[in-house]
Amino acid sequence: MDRREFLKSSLFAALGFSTFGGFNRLVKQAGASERYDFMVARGEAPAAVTAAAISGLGGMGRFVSPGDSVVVKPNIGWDRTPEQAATTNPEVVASLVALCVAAGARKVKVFDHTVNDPRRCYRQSGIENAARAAGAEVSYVDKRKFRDVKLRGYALNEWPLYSDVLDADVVINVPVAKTHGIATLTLSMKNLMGVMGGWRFRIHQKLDRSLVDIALAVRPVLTVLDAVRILTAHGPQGGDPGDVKRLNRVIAGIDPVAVDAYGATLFGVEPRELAYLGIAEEAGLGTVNFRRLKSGSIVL
Amino acid sequence: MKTFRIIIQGFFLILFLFLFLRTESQGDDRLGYPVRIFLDFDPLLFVSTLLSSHRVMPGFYLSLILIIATVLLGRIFCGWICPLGTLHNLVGLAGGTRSKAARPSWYRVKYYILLGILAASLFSVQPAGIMDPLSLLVRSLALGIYPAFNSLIRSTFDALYELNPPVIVDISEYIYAILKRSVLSFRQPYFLQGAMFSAIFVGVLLLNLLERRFWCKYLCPLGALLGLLARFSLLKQSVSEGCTSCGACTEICQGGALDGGPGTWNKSECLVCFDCDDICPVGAVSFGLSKGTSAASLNLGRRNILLSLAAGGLSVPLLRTGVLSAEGYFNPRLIRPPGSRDERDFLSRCVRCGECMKVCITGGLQPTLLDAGIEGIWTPMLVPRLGYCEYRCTLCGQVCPTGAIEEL
Repeated sequence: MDRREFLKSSLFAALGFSTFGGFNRLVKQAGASERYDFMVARGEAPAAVTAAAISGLGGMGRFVSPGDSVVVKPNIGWDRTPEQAATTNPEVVASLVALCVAAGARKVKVFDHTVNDPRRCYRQSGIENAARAAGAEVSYVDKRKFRDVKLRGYALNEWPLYSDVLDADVVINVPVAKTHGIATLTLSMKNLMGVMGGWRFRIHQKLDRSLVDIALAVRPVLTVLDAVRILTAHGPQGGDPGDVKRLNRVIAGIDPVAVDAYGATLFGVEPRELAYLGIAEEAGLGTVNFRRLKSGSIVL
Repeated sequence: MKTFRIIIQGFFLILFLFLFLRTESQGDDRLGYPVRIFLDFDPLLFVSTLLSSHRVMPGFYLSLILIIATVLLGRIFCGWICPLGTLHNLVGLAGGTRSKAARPSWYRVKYYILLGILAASLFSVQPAGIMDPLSLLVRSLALGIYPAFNSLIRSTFDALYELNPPVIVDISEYIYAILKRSVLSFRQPYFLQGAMFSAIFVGVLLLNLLERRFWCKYLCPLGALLGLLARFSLLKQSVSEGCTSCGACTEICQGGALDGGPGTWNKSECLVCFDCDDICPVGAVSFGLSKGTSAASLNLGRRNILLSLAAGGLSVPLLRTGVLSAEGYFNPRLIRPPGSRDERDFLSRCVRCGECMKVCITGGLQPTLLDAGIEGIWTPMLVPRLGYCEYRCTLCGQVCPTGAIEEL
């Protein structure tokens, strides 16, 4: 079968499970009686794994109400294929889009302010076709739609942010887990750079505090960390398939700091080593101690 | 016949423009359209590249089809296919005089230009693309006219977006979205010497106000090459005895092939447009393969032929005294596109068509002026400040007709 058929059938299977409570039942058997705030799901099929993670949080209905306008913000930043793990796995993105649509979203937008040429990034990453097939409105960033936002933060006073994100009812952040030459690791907080306009690469000079400022302005209700494949070296661009490790994991949570802290452990990095996490915790964005959260896990 | 011809001309012009618009990345590794196919059919580029580089790119074998067609039927390319010719016709509608006896000997100039080009090519210089009509058209559109067109449209719609008048802005954004999907480029192109390329091109088109198809009759080296081939054509024009010598055919002749009056048809200059056939009030003019005259007088003059050949040939050592020909000297800023051959080989192949510059997804490939010496004028170089070379992209090599840029 071709890629599109595979996507559709695995999405259907995933949806079937979550709507008929299949995963919920499995998750309950894992020892919890109600929904979690933090889920780690493992398995072979990225779409099903994603659906399982969302299911453990209580289903997409916890985040998306009928009629909502949703932004799903993956990492489409680089001209790389999914096997190179520099961009979010397209099946993970498509799975989330399908779940949002099923939850009654009026519109699901998928975009990223890419670094390489947007046409190549969107196409080569597979996200353009996968997200569109799942029902999302996929579009390139329109430079006119950035709006200056007064951040008055630790490092940034004001910055242009993409109006589609500012105007959305629901924002879902879907980063891919990678190493990063300057940030050590790029996880969910770094991924939010994709909604920034202007001379954004400047913030690499005061990166940690700037990322917290952006995170305070854009508050995703749901963070889904794609760890199906992770890039263990030469990130964020990567390119060498030898740097890619297949973990088959998807981590979902309402606390972006906790998700990133867990993500750090996948690389053998101590969460407190990532300065931006400590500052984020101080700013009230979440907690670095993910173990303290009501968390569940599932293996498919 | 004229209506039919106009339809065919329109078809080829639209096809050309369509392929031009498609010379742009959609994100996939391959373009998916044979965007350089008009250049592949071009016998002038085929011959001059063969002479200067001693190589033939497989695409150029298509030009043999055009050579054979011209030998059989005369300059049908000029009259029916050439998109620049069609543009000349369109501009000429604004009112250019017909062929007049005022410039009887000027038709020879294009042959001198052709001879100069061929002589220079023999000694590995490649000037053909500068005046070849298809190369000129792609280059002018890509580097001058299309960027200007984009700038005009974008600034208009962006201004409306900024002003944001209710209702009107919704309509304008809707139209803008359609234009973006169809005729606008993905990003606004910027090119060095852009205004100059536009000016030269507009100048060439405005020559039609002096005289219709001025370029085709007096300047076009491809027209000259096809005119030489047309000497052997089987097509003949016949004027029956009903001719009243009204001179309408002479007046309307696009190629200036009837300058001596009805019955003096010169098949090297005839663009096979059939206008004379259509306009003859008594229907005396007709074309066929069997009966009729087929004169092909070409009074170039031995002295002028030798002068043209000498000019072309001697231009080579004159050009090669530039410092870039010196052993061990190179311009460190001259970064050629990825996959380019060795500079000497590159210069003997590149026809300065501008295809690579049009397709470059970051807009980094720009036309040189003197960066590669005069010999290398308008060849592509990377200007990293304008656009970097995207590592996994191989589009410039895919569109190069002469293989100056090898496909990676």
